[in-house]
Amino acid sequence: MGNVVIAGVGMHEFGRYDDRDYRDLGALAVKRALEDANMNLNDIQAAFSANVYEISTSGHNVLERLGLPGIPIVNVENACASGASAVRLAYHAIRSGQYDAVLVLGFEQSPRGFLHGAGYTKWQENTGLGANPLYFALAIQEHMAKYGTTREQLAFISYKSHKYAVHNRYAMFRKEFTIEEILNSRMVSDPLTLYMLCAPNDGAAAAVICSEDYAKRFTSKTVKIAATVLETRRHGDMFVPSLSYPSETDYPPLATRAANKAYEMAGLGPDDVDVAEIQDVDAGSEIIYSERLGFMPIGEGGPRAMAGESSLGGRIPINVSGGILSRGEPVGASSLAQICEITWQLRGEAGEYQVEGAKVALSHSEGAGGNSCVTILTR
Amino acid sequence: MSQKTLPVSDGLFTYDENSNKGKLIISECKICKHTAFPKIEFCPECAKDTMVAVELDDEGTLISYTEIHAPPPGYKGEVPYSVGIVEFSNKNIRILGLLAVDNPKILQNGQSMRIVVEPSYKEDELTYLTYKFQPVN
Repeated sequence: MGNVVIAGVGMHEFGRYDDRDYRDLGALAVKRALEDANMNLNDIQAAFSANVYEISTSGHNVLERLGLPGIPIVNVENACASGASAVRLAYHAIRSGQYDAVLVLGFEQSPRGFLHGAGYTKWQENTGLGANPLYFALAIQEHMAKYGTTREQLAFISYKSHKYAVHNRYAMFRKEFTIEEILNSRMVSDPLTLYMLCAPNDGAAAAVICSEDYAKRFTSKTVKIAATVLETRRHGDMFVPSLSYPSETDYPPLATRAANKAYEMAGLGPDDVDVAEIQDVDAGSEIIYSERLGFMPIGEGGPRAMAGESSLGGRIPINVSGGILSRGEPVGASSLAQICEITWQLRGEAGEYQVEGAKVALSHSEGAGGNSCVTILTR
Repeated sequence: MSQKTLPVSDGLFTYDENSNKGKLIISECKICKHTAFPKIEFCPECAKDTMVAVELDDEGTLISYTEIHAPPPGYKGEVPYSVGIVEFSNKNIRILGLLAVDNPKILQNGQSMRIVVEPSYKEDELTYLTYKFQPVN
């Protein structure tokens, strides 16, 4: 069975676009991905389209802007992991021989403020339990009490993100902050301050996924999809919007299960990964997931990040594009943006935040409902 | 309480009208002993029609907590307020809920918590009650 590759990627800059429609954002990202792959829409045989907040057939509405080629379009919704879930569908459709070329797109115009609609009941929202940041805060507060993770280490994660995002044209926040500014920004859900949390915003990203033989006809700069995994919450995984979970389980956490399956599929381990984009919706999540994905020993994510292990030049650079903390999170586009970033890393096109000689790259997205996607790309 | 009160939702808890003492209504599987809150119809592990409602009034252990300063969407109470996760190890369950505490700085992970029922918010001259976890001193 032949390899499945990414032949081209493209993004619409993440930000706030009150004067543009999600169709405009999505269409531009798709156009850029097709140009990157040296293809046009007529070279594509199917499309999987990721979006969370539009009501119906949003992928159709985006592709209409580029001339509907009459190909099958399937709309995919899986919260923060929507885009990577769509990549997985494309991978298997190509792997099975059904198609040679599939377009994956993701786009979002987010409602303003905290994200509604993560599945909370009315009484949860009315009593103040219906807020994603409080779940993130509870997770990292437990980590702090258990392992001694500090507020300064949390602030460092945001500091690192913004330092690199200055160089990322696709990020919304491209301004450096000091550790003190991050610690002293408005408290949202203790210990998480405003600058330690990502902002929902608008944006789009797209990727052209092909069989290797087909892609060769158009471009030489392909990267291989070595693993694509979607793992879903079990009863023991605490995640929005659940209110209870067992004290003890006989299985590892969600992200670890997803990562282990991905490492097995790729025949690689966490030590082989040269660069990673992981679900840093808040500073605490980056620390917790860096451990659960196998990059840091459990409990040591905070001090090791602060020692530079996940910075550029460190042992395992994490979110050196600025990640979600600086990019913002247009939910339907977010995990595809990660995949764009790691594709550029493997092609040596990441500019100021390039990890020299990167050969193996990982993307991890995890969100409402308890969806965890791990994608590993290689060159 | 002089004002008329209502629970924020039916089926979450029972309480004694003369004190603030409360009991949570959880579901427990007759066969595999799996527990869940709020109560549910089918067992989340074995998917059978074997869940029975059980009242939980044990003391629990505080696993984590946070004080929220920015009012989330749909919230009808006042900020700041505190939320925590409490473990009831006898029933192998951890439950998220509001904390009945004026000053969260006194909270410590691992401390004992009891279940109380207290006002959450007021609307149209009704006071809505919910379960909360309160430190046992």
